[in-house]
Amino acid sequence: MTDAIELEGASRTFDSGAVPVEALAGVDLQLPRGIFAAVLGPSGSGKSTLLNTVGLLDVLDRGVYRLHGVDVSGLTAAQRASVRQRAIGFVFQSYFLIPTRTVERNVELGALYRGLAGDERRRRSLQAIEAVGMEHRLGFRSRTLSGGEKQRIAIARAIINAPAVLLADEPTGNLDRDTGQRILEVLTEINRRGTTILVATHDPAVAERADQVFEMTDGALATA
Amino acid sequence: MRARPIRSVVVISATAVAVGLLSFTSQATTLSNQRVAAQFDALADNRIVITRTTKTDSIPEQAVVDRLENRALIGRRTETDLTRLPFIAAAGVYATPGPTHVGPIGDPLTAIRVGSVSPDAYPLVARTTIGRGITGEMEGERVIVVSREVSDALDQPFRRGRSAIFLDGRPYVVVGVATFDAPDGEAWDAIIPYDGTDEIGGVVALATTGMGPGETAAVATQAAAHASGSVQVKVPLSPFALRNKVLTELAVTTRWLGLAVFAAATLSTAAIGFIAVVERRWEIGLRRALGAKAQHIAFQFGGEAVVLGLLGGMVGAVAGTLIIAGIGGIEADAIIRSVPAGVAWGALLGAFAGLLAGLTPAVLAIRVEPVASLRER
Repeated sequence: MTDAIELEGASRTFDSGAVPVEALAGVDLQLPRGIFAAVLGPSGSGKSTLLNTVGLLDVLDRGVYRLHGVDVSGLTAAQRASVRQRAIGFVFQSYFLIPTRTVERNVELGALYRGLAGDERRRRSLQAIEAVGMEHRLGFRSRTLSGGEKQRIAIARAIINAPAVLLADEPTGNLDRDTGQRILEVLTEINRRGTTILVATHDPAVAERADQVFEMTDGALATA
Repeated sequence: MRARPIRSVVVISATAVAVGLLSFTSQATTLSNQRVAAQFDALADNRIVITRTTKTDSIPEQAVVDRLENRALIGRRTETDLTRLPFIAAAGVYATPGPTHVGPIGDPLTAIRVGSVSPDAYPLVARTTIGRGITGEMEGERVIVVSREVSDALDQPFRRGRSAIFLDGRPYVVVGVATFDAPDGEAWDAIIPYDGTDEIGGVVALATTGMGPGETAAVATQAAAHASGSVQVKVPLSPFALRNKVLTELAVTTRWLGLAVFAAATLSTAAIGFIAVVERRWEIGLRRALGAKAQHIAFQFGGEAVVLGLLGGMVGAVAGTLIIAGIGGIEADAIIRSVPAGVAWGALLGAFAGLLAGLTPAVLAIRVEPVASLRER
């Protein structure tokens, strides 16, 4: 069986400043399907760029990226968007929920661009909300939720399409220890159902839960 | 893209549009008023103006002097030409600035007084004299030559063509100040201000019918039938033509105003669209991360503008109809009949405005880089 994620010599350089910054410096990475992997590293080490690249929000300057054995390095923007719709879920440190919308409408947003009928989106939305244990907040606007609740809704939005890969950028970064633990439990449960998870984090507790831990320094990735 | 500079540009642009619109409407209204007033003035004027269209022989300077001494302004040949036409009451000759060239012509019993006034001739005008300019920049204007006494009494430093005096509520442009009595001691009925641009020998004649505008037009048509190729008859405006001209003027003005308001509203909607894109950058980035393609984002912002424009257009059409009905006292049945068509047009126009207003923000939205916008948040 092919790996879920496979990077070979992945490089990404940003030229926005006076000095070019090599965010990914020839990274090689193989993640088997269904693994829970964590990437540790200081700020600016390239963790977010790695996640953005794996999530097809960003493209490589050099190297090859295979997702479930398919080379996705040369896809167009529209093709990458299609892959994101079906195969990739995102969880962000800042949740990125639309504050004026209800919990279920926020979760439905994750399936909006798949062309599903409204009823099907609502069914999947309720299913995802139940999966993260937030059914008691149905009908609440997201701005009324606590940080931990927001993150669980964000996770529900990320899994509404049953993605093969879930990418989480500092998912516990804005949460206290106990709430962070509960989020980790949710992620672990999702991983147990077969979803490959890659988490960028500073949190040692996340690393303890992970099957495999990498360390990133100045764009270079190494097994911890 | 930074929020603050774009907001500043939007605020400045919106203010410029608002002030520009105010200035435009004010000036357009003034212009329209002037044009409409000119139409009514033309109707009020029941004289026929007959102008030579071909250049006559130049009059030697000495001949001008001779004729001036004899108070004869029309050369024999020209006089013959004019007398072939009916209803000619008086005529005057253009001349270079000189001592004087004024006086009545034709049958004294029916003559009106015509003066061709050059600045040098003003001192020879006896008293305050009013008339209507029939050439140059003064064409159609009520003009006046005031006496020195009047000038002194009013303590006004009159400027030729710039100052005006109101008589019986009507403004008269001052074309000169007289200092001496005119030879005839008579006032003119018409004044031809000489501005130095016309050629020597140009002949202008006026015919006064003493009839109403409609009859005057009929007479003018007869005069035109008698005119040879060298003489042009300017027919006074008929009331019907005036009605059409006034309606055209008003329609043009109101349409321009409507277009300006429409453009301003569209720009305002576009400005709101810009602000929306700036404020929702992170949401655009999120939607891109969730699989939205460029067309989804473009449709979201462009589509929102079109739908909102469509709704606004429908509401605006109904509101406009009701307001006009209220002002104009239109019957309810007529309003009800006109509403469906108005709503359809309003919706169409509103959607079009929304499309115009939403295009640029939509293009701006699809250029948002998801990674950068999420990182900014």
